[in-house]
Amino acid sequence: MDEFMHVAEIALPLLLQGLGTTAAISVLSILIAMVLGSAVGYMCLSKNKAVELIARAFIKIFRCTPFMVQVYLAYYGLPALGLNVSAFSTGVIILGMYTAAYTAVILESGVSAIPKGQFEASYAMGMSRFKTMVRIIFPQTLKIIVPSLTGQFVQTVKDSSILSIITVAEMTMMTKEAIGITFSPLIVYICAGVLYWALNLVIEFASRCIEKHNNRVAI
Amino acid sequence: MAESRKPVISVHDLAKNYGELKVLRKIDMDIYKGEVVSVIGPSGSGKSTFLRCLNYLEELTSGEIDIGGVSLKGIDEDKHNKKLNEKAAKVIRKNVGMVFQQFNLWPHKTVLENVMECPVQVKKANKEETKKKAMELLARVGMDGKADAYPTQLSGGQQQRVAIARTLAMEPEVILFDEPTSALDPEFVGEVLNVMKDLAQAGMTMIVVTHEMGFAAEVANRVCFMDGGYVIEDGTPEEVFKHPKSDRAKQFFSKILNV
Ligand SMILES: Nc1ncnc2c1ncn2[C@@H]1O[C@H](COP(=O)(O)OP(=O)(O)OP(=O)(O)O)[C@@H](O)[C@H]1O
Ligand SMILES: [Mg+2]
Repeated sequence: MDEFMHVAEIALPLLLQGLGTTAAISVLSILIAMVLGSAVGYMCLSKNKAVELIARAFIKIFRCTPFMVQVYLAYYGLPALGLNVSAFSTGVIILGMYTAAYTAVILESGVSAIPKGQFEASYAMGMSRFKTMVRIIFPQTLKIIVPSLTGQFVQTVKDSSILSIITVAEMTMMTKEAIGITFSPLIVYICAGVLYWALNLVIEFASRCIEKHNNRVAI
Repeated sequence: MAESRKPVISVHDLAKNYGELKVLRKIDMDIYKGEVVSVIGPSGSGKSTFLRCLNYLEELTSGEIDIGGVSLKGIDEDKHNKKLNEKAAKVIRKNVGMVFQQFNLWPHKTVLENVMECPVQVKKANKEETKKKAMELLARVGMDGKADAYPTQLSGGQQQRVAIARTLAMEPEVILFDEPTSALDPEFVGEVLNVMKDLAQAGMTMIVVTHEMGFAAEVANRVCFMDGGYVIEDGTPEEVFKHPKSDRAKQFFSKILNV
């Protein structure tokens, strides 16, 4: 127990620093995923075949290649394209796009669960397709997909650990650093695991609040 | 009927196919201001499809529908009509409201928000004024006491009355009703029919697909009997119910009226 406290005392400041970065990456990626994922999901439902095809290609690319490969591609690819962005930004962008692909799929499946009558009433009242989606369909869809979105965003937090391979100083990277100092991998990994878990508890707590709120205003 | 007046809706040679299935074969119909037209007929005869063509919820296969100076045209004659139809639909849907069998209220919005949504979002009307008008409309259908309720907290009859108020909020010239009371428990049918009766008396032009023969006989001033994708009887309730010309209609009424 003494040894645990001793190691934790050295490791925790490093891990907490990493936790901050992990939290920042996760929040930013999730925000990107929500905006970009909604846009891609909307494009999937477009009547314009070309628009739909672009959206489907985006989803296929990000869902059918390993995330680690995507991370390396972005890390070496962006500079090759003349874009000099930090490892942190690269990580946020690629994790955001990766999560957006899954978000789009979840959104689309949610939309297909909305009764046809909801669309028809909106069109019959003179609403455009865009207005119908944004004001009538998506708000109802969001309520249905909160649980699956939560699962996806918890996954995003976990996937952010892969960004350590491109030198982003997030928690997994800091864990390795702490191990280098303390030579106690087991104890440091236990600490790191608990911190990841705590971060995801926050997401699940937020999700539960949203669900409770939704249930209160009925549907 | 004063034949010199211009019809509000004019349907020529309308046909609608779903693939091989010919649902509407050749419909010709003029509907004038203030008319209350009941459309009746056996299940599958194309009544809903006919209504849904009028506000372009369905594509027309051939023929033409003229409403308020714009027209929908069949896409069999020219594929480009599809684009033109989409444009025309925007105008037509401003003039034509629709009330559905399943109400189709928006469940994430309150009763008042349901009624206010389209005047504010589509017509860009002033919010305060719209709210005042919406409350008046809700009072008209006896639902002003439930303005802040959500649709799921209401009975079917109450939901349908809100749906009628929502449609009225857009000030349409014509309202299409597709079996507005068929999804209701019997105890709630009367309250919805009463609202519709008031509308009819106030001079609203209405096309009502219904199985309520009582309503058709009492409130409608014109009854159309559809079968197999044709309108085979078209006249006053008296003419169609008491002296149907076709055997099909006679059979249908003997079945329905004797139950
Ligand atoms: N989207 C569709 N695709 C294929 N067939 C359809 C579609 N909609 C309707 N039909 C068919 O068209 C025919 C006419 O349907 P419609 O709903 O217009 O009948 P209806 O007179 O309203 O009947 P009901 O009294 O049962 O409501 C039916 O045979 C129906 O199965
Ligand atoms: Mg029908």
